[in-house]
Amino acid sequence: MKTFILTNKKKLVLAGLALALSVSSCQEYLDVEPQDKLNSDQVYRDVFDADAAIIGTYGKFMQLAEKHVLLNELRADLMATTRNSDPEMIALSEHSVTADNRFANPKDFYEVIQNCNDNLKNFDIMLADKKFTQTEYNQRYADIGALRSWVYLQLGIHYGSVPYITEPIENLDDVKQTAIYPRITFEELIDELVAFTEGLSYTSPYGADSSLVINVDGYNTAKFFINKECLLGDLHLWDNNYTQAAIHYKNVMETGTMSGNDSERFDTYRVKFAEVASNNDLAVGYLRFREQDRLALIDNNTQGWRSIFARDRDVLWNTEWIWSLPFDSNFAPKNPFINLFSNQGGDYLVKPSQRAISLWEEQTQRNGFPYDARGKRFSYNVIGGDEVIMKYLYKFLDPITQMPIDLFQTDGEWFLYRAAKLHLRYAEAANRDNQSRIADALLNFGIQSEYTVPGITDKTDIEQTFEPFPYNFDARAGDFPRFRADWHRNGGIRGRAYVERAEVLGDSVISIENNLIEEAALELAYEGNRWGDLVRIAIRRNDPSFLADRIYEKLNAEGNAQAESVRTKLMVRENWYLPFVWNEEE
Amino acid sequence: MLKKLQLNCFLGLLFCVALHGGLYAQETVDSTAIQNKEGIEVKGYIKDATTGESISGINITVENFSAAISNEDGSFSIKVPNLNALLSISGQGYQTKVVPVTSTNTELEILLFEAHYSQFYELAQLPSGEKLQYSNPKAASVVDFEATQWGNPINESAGDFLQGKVAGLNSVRKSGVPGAGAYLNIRGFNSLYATNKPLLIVDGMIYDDEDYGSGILQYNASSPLAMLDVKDIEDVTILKDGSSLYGTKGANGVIIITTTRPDELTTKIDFTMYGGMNQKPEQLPVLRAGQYRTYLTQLVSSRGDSQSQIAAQPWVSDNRANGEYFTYNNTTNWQDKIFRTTTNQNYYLRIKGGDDIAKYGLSVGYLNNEGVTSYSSMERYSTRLNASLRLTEKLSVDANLSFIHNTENLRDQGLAYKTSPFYLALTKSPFLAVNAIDAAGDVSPNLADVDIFGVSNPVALLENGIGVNKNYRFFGNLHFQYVFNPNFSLNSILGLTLNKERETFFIPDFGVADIVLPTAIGNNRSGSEVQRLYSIYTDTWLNYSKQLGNKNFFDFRLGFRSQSNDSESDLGLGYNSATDDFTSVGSGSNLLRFVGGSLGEWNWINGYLNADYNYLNKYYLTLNAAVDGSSRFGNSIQQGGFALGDSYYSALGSISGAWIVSSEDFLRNSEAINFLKLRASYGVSGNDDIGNYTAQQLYVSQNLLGVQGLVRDNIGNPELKWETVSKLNMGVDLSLLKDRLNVSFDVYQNNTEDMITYESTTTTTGFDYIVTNSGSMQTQGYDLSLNSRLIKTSDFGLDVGLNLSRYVNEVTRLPGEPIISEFGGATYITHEGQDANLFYGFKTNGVYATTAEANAEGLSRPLGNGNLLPFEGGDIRFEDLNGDKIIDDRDRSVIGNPNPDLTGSFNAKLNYKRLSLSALFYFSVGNDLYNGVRYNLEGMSGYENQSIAVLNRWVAEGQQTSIPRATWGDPLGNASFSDRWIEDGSYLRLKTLVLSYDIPTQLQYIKAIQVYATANNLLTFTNYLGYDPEFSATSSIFGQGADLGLMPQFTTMQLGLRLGL
Repeated sequence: MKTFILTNKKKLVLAGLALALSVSSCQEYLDVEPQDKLNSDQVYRDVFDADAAIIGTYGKFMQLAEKHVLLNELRADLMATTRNSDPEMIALSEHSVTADNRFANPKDFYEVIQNCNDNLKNFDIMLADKKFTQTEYNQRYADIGALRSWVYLQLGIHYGSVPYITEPIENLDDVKQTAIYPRITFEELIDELVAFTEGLSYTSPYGADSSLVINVDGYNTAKFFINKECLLGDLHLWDNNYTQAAIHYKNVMETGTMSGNDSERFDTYRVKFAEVASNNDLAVGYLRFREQDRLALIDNNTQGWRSIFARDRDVLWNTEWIWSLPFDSNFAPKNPFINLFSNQGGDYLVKPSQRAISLWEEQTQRNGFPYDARGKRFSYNVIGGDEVIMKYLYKFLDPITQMPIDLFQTDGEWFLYRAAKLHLRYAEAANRDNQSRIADALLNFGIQSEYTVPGITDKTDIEQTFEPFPYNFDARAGDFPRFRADWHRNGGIRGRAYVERAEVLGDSVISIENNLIEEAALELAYEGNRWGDLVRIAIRRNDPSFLADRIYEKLNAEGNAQAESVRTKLMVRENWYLPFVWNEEE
Repeated sequence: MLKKLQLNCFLGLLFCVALHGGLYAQETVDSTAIQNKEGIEVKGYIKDATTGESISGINITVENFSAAISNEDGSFSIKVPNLNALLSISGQGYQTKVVPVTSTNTELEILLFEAHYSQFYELAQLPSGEKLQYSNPKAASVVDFEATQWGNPINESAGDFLQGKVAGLNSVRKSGVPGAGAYLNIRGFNSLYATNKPLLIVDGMIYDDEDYGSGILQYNASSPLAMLDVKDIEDVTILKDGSSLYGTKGANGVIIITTTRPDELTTKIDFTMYGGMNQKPEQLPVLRAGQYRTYLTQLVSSRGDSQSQIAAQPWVSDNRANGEYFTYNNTTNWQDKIFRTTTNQNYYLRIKGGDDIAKYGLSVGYLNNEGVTSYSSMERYSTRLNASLRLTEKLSVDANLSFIHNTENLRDQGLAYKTSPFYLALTKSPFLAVNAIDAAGDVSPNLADVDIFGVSNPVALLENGIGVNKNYRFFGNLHFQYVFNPNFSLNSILGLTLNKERETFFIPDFGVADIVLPTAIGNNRSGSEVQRLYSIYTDTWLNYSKQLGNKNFFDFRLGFRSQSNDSESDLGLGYNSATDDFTSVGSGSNLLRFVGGSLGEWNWINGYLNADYNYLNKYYLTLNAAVDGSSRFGNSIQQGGFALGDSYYSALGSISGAWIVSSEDFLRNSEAINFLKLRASYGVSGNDDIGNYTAQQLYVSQNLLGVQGLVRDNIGNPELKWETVSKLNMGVDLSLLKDRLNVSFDVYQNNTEDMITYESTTTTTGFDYIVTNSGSMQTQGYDLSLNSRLIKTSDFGLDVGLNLSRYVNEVTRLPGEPIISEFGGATYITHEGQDANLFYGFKTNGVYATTAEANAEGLSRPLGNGNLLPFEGGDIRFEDLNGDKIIDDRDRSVIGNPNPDLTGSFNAKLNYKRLSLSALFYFSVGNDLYNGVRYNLEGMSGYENQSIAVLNRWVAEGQQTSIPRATWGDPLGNASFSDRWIEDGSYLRLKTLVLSYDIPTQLQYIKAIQVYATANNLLTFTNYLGYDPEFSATSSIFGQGADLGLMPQFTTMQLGLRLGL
């Protein structure tokens, strides 16, 4: 052997060289990068890649819209099934969802979560590799982190205990890991979410100079992204940390405070009173001096309360909307709401429940009309004999004929957060935080109306709360001396809706809380809040009947024979939750 | 490019090392065997097996030892080194044969047959080189094309041509579309998601037979194999086992094709011309106008139309004055308007010739084959130059270069309900007319537009539509050979494949139903797609053979292959151009244009070693080993193979052995048994069709409005690797009665491990599945091939042959739930413990005669909203398998198996003097088919015309019938996928019948004149009710046996003339 090596030394060297070269050249030859997709080496290289990742995750997030609305509304008491609903939707409405029901499958939620996990992990790596700045990192990490918390909150609301997975899936081992992930209870989940989300070091919206805030296809993207303070407020509210919740909500309510532009300063997220002269507002209103004429109702896409859902993203829109994602017929995904709600050009799968209708009918307008126009005039209409939920259809149906303007023109919005909701949530926190008066004021006719003293012209010492943050409101509007305080235009939710104030009966905290939740039904119906509201209050009061009774009333009013048994079932908290399906095909 | 350069450098180095080693090896060649000329003398005589006459001038050789030539009386004597020597006997016009020396005492009687007579003496082209089947331990079959290629029907491509010629090779013609090709597999299937196509090797180089585009002409597939002219092929070797030398590409067996060999020293010219007729297929019986009107009236009343509403329909009124009478009172046979009897023609010229230095074979061909419709056609220009150059004593180079160009006229077929002329011809209302008709009954030359039922005019699609596929392929290689000495040589093949396919279509607005696009109504539509494949292939190997003494023979081959591939597809679709005169994508609406495409790139390297050992010319042993690297493999594979650097390599191999029992002493003198060989092999091969990038974690674009972002596309699986297929084969080759009966029989078992599955994951991963190697499958079966010369006289001869093959498949491991897949309206289930791909649907049991009968059973159907609709009289009686009184998906069960129990062929060849008649029957037994055409013709739910079977539909209480009632929209799902549509697809077909006559010629410059009369698909015996029981609409196994209504196969008859100059 030794002699062999010696005699063949040259050859062996050459062979060794060839081998070494071949290993390295083979390796390169076999290392082929995909051409029409990207692999993990080709992404997350700079801030624009990070932006693309965020855009992608929000694109996936859009796919949750239909489910979000159905889970939160059809399970609750304001929405009912129609003759066209499929058995799985009926089961959802009747709280008899089984594991083979598509609504029991949390995959869609986890698809977004896993993309968030992938984003967050790679943002960390990018920061460590100095591929973007700390500021760029903070903003983006907080956005995606908050979005993930929002999705987890929804998962918790609907499925109770869920696995809280925060690492991306990258290989077979990760797949096996997720299969044995422990499920944590809703309370534990809330604690996790509060801890994580509070830990985010950036809570403002993206700055106007951010590369993510741009105009695209006629939409400004600023309101596409989750509002982290609103989410934090919600999380604390679920956690019953009322002061903390109020602080975060109040931060959003004061968004306009520092603005040099008066209308931005006074109008942004402050639920402004009606402009009775011009009707260029977001209030329920009538043509001036024709308040007793039913036909004088301001009912179009550019004025009044209806325009909240129908108007373009203009100045007024920006005073109400905090978070909303558009569906545009030129781009996927297709607006799912047309199919869901419309009986013209859609499948008409859900409708307003009789209970919701009667809630609106039980209200009295300030002009004496025995109903709330937010009901049958705005939130739903009767089209061709069917009660049709309208909030999502204003851009699709012709205002006069109630027929589709163009079957292919399916623009619309996914409504996620607006000022009215913010005020109601803030009021809920304030009410529980010994600030019932403020809560009642925001619910009804506003701070000024509540804190004013009739007949006094000098407003210096009135029309304000004299409370420390977050309960400080100054709504003074006086001319001698002149005051135009930040909150002087706040008209209250019911004030803006032109309905009589909600009476406080008995225990004021409970009563006001009841009023707030009912107002949320009237104001925010079908915007994906109702089930969460019912669950939150029922848990807070440890009173399942708060939820069960409402579902019972809905089903009963629909003539559903299951109403009583559903009520009995929902008296047990475990039964509020959908079955959590781990494996789709089971 | 840099990578390729580097690889070439590496190859160069390998050459150097090899050369170096080679020169060194040369010095040590053992040459003692050749020098020993003493030996033992053996005597014998040679006879012609047909005539029994002695033949002279036959070469007898013992390899590397001695040679002799037979005398006038056929006798010879030759020295052999020992009694285990093999005599090789060859002569002009005879099949070269090897004969073991039996003894020195008796004279050997050797019978020679004509060339290509016996499978056992054919020369197989194996991945390790040429080998005589006699000593081949592997299960291989050789198909010689020479005998039959000249009479081949010109609408049969190479894949179709092989049908029935080899036991174990399953060939299903895709459709009647000229150039459609065939769905090929060897011994059933080994994979669910990866390819089941055998590897194709043409002239030493991998021939890519994939389709790299989406195929914008619906349900048409391109088949590069079909581009090869049958007349350019000399022989084909089908290697059914032991294909490990191709590593992770060999799992499905190998088909090795050799085209024209430039082996003539004298100039030889073959010119052929053919002309023939494509006969239009027999029509399916559909309702005539009156019957259809009655049917339609009943149908629309079932949706609730009142008598007065029906009476107001224009097609009901018999008032000639109402202006529409003449439009709705025709009797049109739409199938007549579609199908035509057409012609085909083919011209082919081949020149072979050359001298000692350069030999060549040049062929050019032209083919024009019209399908059975007036618009369908295929036109092909082909040219091939195969040359063999001897540059120096030791260095030679072979060039195989071909260029083929096809132009095909096609139309949508299959499930394209608005645009498939076949579908429309069956289902369009017979009372409507092709042309517009005015109130006075005058027929316009203009075509009729879409009818009131929203159904397109099939003639408009034919006349005003466009569907063209132009494709070309350059396929060529250079094969260098350097011979150091007769025992040692170095070879290198360098090849290039360049394939381009351009498909365009236009569907006019006028006469064709609109489609709904996401943002608009589409009226006319156009499309264009370009597919491109660019592939470089190299194969470099060293051959070394060595003989130790007179008993041990060794052959080695050590080689290295590489293949780099690049594919691209770009497509554009346009809609709503201003008028039907603007037929290009560019003239469509700017808002509606769609562009798409895909890119692929993958590289493969393969190092291989083959070692053949032969002891005493009786015991043969072959060892194969292969090491593969592929860009498709993951980089952290857990088991099987090994890592080198960052890449992962497979290690595969096979062992095969053969024992020639007839050479043993106890059988040497047997009169009955002329040849008996036992074979066994076990090998492990791989399948690398696992997706180019599946192992990698991928990101794809995801839009938010018009902004593109990135999201995760998959769960990458870094452990992803090839599928591993182990093959066990046992075979026997037997020749009896002086070689007049030859039988081969093989049993085999293929086990697929690491089979690709789409393993479902938990919902919390956010993905539906991960691609893993976690399935396994088994296919067992046998092949029998039997050939016999029944009669032989000098004037008259009759040969018959039989091929039989059977395979049984079982999925042995499949993680998760059964796979339920849909294709063309059929539902399939793949379940652990069962055959893959079984039809899965409802079982039915006739029709309820009365509503009372239906009520008594109390079954109902859930509607979309969950309400239950009870069955009534006239509805199908479905079997309620789970007993819940509700007929839904849970009542489905296995209702058929598209895999045949047995396939085979029977052939006979009759010779009388210069006349010969050969027939090939092909049959398939026990396969089930889903008759999707009949589903459309008996569904009775809409305006579609129906088959005459619906005349027996249930119309009145108490009626006993097997056809249910007509109900608008079929709310009870009487037509849902059930055993009603599953038919026995067994058939026996006279596939080809060729009559040929060799015209005697005295002319000096004409060597041969032959005339051929050929019929293809002349007779088909089947109970199948569709056009034809043979079709394959997809290359996936999920979808075999589903009849989508593709262009049916048709009968052709042709006359041909061959001139040999």
